[in-house]
Amino acid sequence: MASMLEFRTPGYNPYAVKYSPYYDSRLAVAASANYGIVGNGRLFVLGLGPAGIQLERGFDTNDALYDLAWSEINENQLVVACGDGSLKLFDLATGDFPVMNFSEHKREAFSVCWNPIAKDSFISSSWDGTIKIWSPSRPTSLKTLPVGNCTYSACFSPSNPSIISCVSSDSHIRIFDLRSPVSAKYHLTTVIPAHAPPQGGGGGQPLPLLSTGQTFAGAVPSEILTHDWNKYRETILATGGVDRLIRTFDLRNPAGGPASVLPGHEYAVRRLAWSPHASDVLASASYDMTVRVWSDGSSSPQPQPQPNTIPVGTQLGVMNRHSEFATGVDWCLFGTGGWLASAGWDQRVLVWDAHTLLRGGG
Amino acid sequence: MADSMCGPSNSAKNLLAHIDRDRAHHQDRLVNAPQAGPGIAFRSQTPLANGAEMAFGGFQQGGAPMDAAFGSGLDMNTITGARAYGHPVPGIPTTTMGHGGPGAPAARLASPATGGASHQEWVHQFSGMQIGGGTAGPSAAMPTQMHQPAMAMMNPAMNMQQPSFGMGMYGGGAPAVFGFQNPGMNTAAQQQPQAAVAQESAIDVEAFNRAFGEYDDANFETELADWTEKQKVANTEFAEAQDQWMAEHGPRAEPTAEVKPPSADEMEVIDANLEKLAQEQDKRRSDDELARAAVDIVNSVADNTSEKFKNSRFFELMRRIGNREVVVEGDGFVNAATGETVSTSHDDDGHPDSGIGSDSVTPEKGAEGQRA
Repeated sequence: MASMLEFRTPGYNPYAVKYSPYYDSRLAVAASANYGIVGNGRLFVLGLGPAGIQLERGFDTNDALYDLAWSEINENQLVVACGDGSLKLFDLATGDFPVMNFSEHKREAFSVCWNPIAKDSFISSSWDGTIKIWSPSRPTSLKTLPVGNCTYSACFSPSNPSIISCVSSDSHIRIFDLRSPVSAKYHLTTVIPAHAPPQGGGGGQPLPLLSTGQTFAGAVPSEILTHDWNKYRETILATGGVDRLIRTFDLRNPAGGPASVLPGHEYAVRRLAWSPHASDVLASASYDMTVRVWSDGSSSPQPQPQPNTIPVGTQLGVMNRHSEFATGVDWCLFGTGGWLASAGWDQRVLVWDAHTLLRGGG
Repeated sequence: MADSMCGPSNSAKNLLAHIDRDRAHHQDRLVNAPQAGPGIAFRSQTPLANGAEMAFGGFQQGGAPMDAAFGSGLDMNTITGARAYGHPVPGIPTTTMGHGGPGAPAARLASPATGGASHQEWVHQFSGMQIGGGTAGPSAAMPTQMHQPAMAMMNPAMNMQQPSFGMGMYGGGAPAVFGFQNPGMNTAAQQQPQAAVAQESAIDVEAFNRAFGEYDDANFETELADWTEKQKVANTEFAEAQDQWMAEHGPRAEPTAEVKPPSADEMEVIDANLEKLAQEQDKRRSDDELARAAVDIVNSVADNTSEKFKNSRFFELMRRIGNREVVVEGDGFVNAATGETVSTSHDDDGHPDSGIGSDSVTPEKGAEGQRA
């Protein structure tokens, strides 16, 4: 491996790492003291330079930090999700305190995502079972979408500013379309049971097979911890969770079951990120202390689809340097592509080139 | 999101454990043992249980009115009884209450495995015994064919009584439990053999079976008579003790001291104490939950032999929390024994950072997979 840059977050266990959408040399880490069990949090803003990774700014919070999102409209701002349910907007150009505080969630806020298209709003999800839509300039939420379960992750679609997705502890993916009327369903347009095998074919259908020949073992509901939208194929998203499988889904066929399955992690999958450079590549961080890079197989010529068979993707490589749970992973948007930042509870942020993992080098 | 059905404070869990124990017929001799006075033969000692068998037979054959009452009654038991008391407490022996009412709904659930043809015989024995023996009680007076609907109608009322008699908590378990528990059998003398049985079966079911296999009928009858006698004495003692207690503490008891409402100052102290107590309890509860979660977490990776998991500082911390060596204090972890702060910093970790050694390329498609 050519090089792997490292930054330590002494006393704080990272929960998330995100590259700035404005600079290829800037990233931020949301971290919590004592593994987020008790104590405060700290937001690290890091710069990559000739001397390695340097701390540019640090912001302390009274509660654990579980996620962060860079503002898409202001290069100096970013929002964090706190253990006390609040969201805090920090500005690198101002003092040590947040410029805005959004305090409505009744339990731990577990994810935040900035709208990448409209750029004037962001969403948060919480263990209180709701998603809230916010404007960075308004202290109260614009809208609340009920989910009813611990909602571990919520995202905006990267291709449509009105579409919001979330995954939760009930093993379901929910898609909200804000253009739909606020009927009794609060914009909820699609619900996909992530564990469900492909439908159709009637009752006595046997369990589906994986394309490798094994029986699909993922037909049991389990908590989904993370998901992400494919950056090229606008109807594809991937989920990961407690059952260790990464699945991809095509929203055009909600009852079709997983479009592909990526087995390999030995424990729950904590974070997923599709590559911004390749339509079939994604990275995942897991409680098995590894970060893995995958191809869902969509770029290679597809064999004739077999009935009741789920394609299995390819694991391109394993990054095994973290010595505790790997909790965060993100792709750099710039450059040749393939640069990743990962963070883990070993209190380290590692920046590395995925090509070094891939077969035959980069 | 606390689910009281999952917590350890619920009696249902304890009751569930009983289901796994030996429910062979020889135990029925013990658990269906006589509880009423002399002159009634062993088999007719549990008229209500017999009625229950019959009723249950009817239920199995589709007695609709009973069905409905059965359901609501059971629910009521579960909620009011199990939640209010947490643990099964001895109920008041039905014989001392002068009627068989409270025992009936619980007993109705007994012996679910019986029924069908054999229960008819019991029905006749039962009805004959009820009239001949003159046992008082609303259900006993019913003609046989009237029995089911009558009991069904009575059932809700009886269930309302149950919590106050301390009987309701038996509703928390599956019907099978009731056959084993014998609702009426709650005096110390009665519980002794049952406890012994439970212990024995838990330790060595085979030894238990052997012991009871050698137990011939004659032997059993004499011991049974002896035991009945002892039980009578125990019942009397219990009733006396209960009367005495009621005289001292019951609603008609003489107040021993003048009770005045506390003054404002006293209230402040009381409030402060209560507040402190509540905080301590909260702290203890969250400590317990954390320790339990830590143990669960450690156990969940117990089969993982990799170096990384063995050397993980997080799992080391979880082990120490699970062992109560480390507790939460303020905003951090402290050593429970010394009070020293426990550092969770990884600063002193050595992270070898040379080469690609620990990283790997997947050799072939989906190679590692499908264990999940």
